[in-house]
Amino acid sequence: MTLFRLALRLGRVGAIAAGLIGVAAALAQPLAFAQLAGGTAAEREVFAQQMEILARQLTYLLPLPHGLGTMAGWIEWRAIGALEVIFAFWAVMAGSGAGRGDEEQGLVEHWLAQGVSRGRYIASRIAAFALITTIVVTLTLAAARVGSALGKEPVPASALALQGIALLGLVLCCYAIALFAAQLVTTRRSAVALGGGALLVLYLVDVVARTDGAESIRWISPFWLYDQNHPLTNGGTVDVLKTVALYVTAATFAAAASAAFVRRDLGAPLLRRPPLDSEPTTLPASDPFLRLPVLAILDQQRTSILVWAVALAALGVFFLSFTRTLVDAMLATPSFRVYMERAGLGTYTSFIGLVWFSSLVLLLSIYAIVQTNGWAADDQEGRLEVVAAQPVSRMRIVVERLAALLAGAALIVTAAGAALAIGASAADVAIDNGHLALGSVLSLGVVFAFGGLGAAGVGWRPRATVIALGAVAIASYFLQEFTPLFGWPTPLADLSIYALYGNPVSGTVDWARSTALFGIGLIGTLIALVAVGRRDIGR
Amino acid sequence: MRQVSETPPAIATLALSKDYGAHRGIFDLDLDIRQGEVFGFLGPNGAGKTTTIKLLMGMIHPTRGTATIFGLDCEREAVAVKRRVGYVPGETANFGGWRGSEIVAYVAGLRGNVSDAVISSLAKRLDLDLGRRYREYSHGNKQKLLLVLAFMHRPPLLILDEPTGGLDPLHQQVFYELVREARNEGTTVFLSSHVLSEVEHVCDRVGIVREGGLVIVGTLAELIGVRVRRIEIVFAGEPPLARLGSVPGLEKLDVSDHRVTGILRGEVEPLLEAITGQHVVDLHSREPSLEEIFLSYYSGSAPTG
Repeated sequence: MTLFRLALRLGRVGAIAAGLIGVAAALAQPLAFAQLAGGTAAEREVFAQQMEILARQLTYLLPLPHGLGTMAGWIEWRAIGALEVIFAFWAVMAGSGAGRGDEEQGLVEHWLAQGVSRGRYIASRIAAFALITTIVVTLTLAAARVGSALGKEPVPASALALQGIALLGLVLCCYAIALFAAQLVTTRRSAVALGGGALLVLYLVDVVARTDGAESIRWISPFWLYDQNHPLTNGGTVDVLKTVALYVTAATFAAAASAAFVRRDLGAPLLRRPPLDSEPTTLPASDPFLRLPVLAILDQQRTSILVWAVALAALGVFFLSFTRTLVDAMLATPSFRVYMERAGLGTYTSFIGLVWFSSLVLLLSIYAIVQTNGWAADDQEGRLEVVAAQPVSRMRIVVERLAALLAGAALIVTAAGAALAIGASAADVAIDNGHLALGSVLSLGVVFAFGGLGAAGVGWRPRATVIALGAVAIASYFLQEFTPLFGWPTPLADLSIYALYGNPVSGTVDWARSTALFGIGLIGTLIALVAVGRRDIGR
Repeated sequence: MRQVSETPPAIATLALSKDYGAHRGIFDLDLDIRQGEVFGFLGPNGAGKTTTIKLLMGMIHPTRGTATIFGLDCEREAVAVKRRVGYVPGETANFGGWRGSEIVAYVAGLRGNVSDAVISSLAKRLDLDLGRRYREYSHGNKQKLLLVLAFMHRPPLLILDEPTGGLDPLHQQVFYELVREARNEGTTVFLSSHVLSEVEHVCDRVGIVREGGLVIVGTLAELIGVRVRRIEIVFAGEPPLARLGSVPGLEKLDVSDHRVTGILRGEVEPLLEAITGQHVVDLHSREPSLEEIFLSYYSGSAPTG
């Protein structure tokens, strides 16, 4: 029981994050539907038709819709459909953490040394995640029920329960696959890459299947199995066979992961490759960047910066691929037209400026938070002590970290901006490249603000700082997104840190706000410079 | 850099204290380590060794008191201090997937003016493959890497916090050689340890710390030869326990039939006077090992000596 409680405790942060996102989405979407869909049958029919067009463009992200003129159909497509990917991501992180992350930190060795059997250990982790997921899914669907009731079209609880059973099966399936993948590699990072990569392929199979492709192999995708369930829509049912298949797949991979964990050596993969014949060396690395300030940090992060740059560039191009159709479809929907005009999204350029760049700054904030997390880990894992033992001032350490953060972000933003410019040209969407460059440069203000605040807080409360920055980013993003949607007072949107960024791509730059953004970064940096000299270093 | 006219002590602390509360930390530490000596800092876990070292390295700030290294203030002139210091921390860091060669290059870049030949020589002597990833290193190899980082710039002062943890006996000998060579070149070494044989191997002077306070400092000869002796006396008749009990510094008396054993701190003369007139069959006065001295400071009440 102690081990089970410990496993619950280890999964709490991911569960809280997934739960918050799930509840927020499940609560907000029914309210949005009540606002947007109209009240009469005719308005509903028009809305459903337009959304159907929109949905066909979004099969990369969302399942095929059913009954979009109803609250239940909207919840199934827009609220719960969007959670598929988010919960799958959570499952990958949890599975890789349980399968490899805790082992990397030496915790598993410690627990096993206390007389806990390997089978009991892995069973506890699986059981704890199953319980946590059940709670998160239940809360999410309860939020959907409340949201639909507030929207005056309550969805039956029994239908939501059936949807929950299918969703739980999908999340457990993703977790089990990630847990098994973690047995095949030696680090958590590799486990995330392998497990996440495998699930991405399975997801893409489902994406292709949504347009009637991949008929012969679609059954291998747990996402396709899940998508065949429509308990919420009128007359909808659960596909029992496919739902059972989800649970059987989850059980099979969980059993395989357990067997692999029992069989393999701690710290080693299930299948070992023959050792490589590499020549031992006693010389330091010849890489010149490692010996230069700032560049040394960038050099260490070259792979992750490359991944960020490629991912954001690809996302930008992907966004452009449906911008034209999406804007046309939304402007053709009267209720959406009101929202679009309220949010200043009337043209392709303003749409890209506001929607893509609001996503970009959110992602760049996450990049800054990830770096902050790395700074906290530097201290907790002793790397900072090794660096601070060299003849470098503590202030230099802070300045170098922030300079590397900004330089890395600049590389990422440049790649994303270049891809967007090329993609816009190819998609025949006119964007002023000067404005695009300006928007890209000013987005570094967001990175600087989060980095400065992170640097200030990380020496004081490392873990709390990372969580607080994440909360600021999420709250700021939702404030910005929901204020025009629900017609909330503008000052509320101004509480968002992203409000200081604005929409420079559309050509209107509020220099006072942009300066304030960089000012936050500067103040954070100054606090960090003072704080780093006063604090104690070391574990 | 400040010009120092006289030869300052390598390390000097005055009433140096770090109070973590609940009697944890280090209190009113006065140290004076001369240049060129190898100083052993002894104490069990939690006695305050690592706290003292972190204070010297400027990693943590003192609650009160001062510390200087070569006359430079460890707080205000931390960068200049670290230019002169090679440091092995008490715990190995986690560099994840970095290769040993990358870690060494990175730290050498931070420090500047480090010879690749010296790094290579150290790695060879310690039998450390720098081509492997840090996460693949055993605990001993991680410790060897920290030793390379500490010795590679040939600093005038080495501050080593339990430097042989995880090293096998073969490489412990290599470490002792490195320390001896460094001392021969004039390097000062401040070495914390609870491995007494290690201190006996390489140290000129020893300080013993207990519950955050320095209880004794001296050369090994002083500690072993003068201050404490192991006494064993065999009497023909009943031992004169009352008289023995009144001998100043005679502690831990153990009586078995006619045999009396104990630890004598201080002068021998009062003991000889106490047994004058007794028929003594046998008498042994032995210099205790450092281990016995150490243990004598950690059992019973705090010694006065």
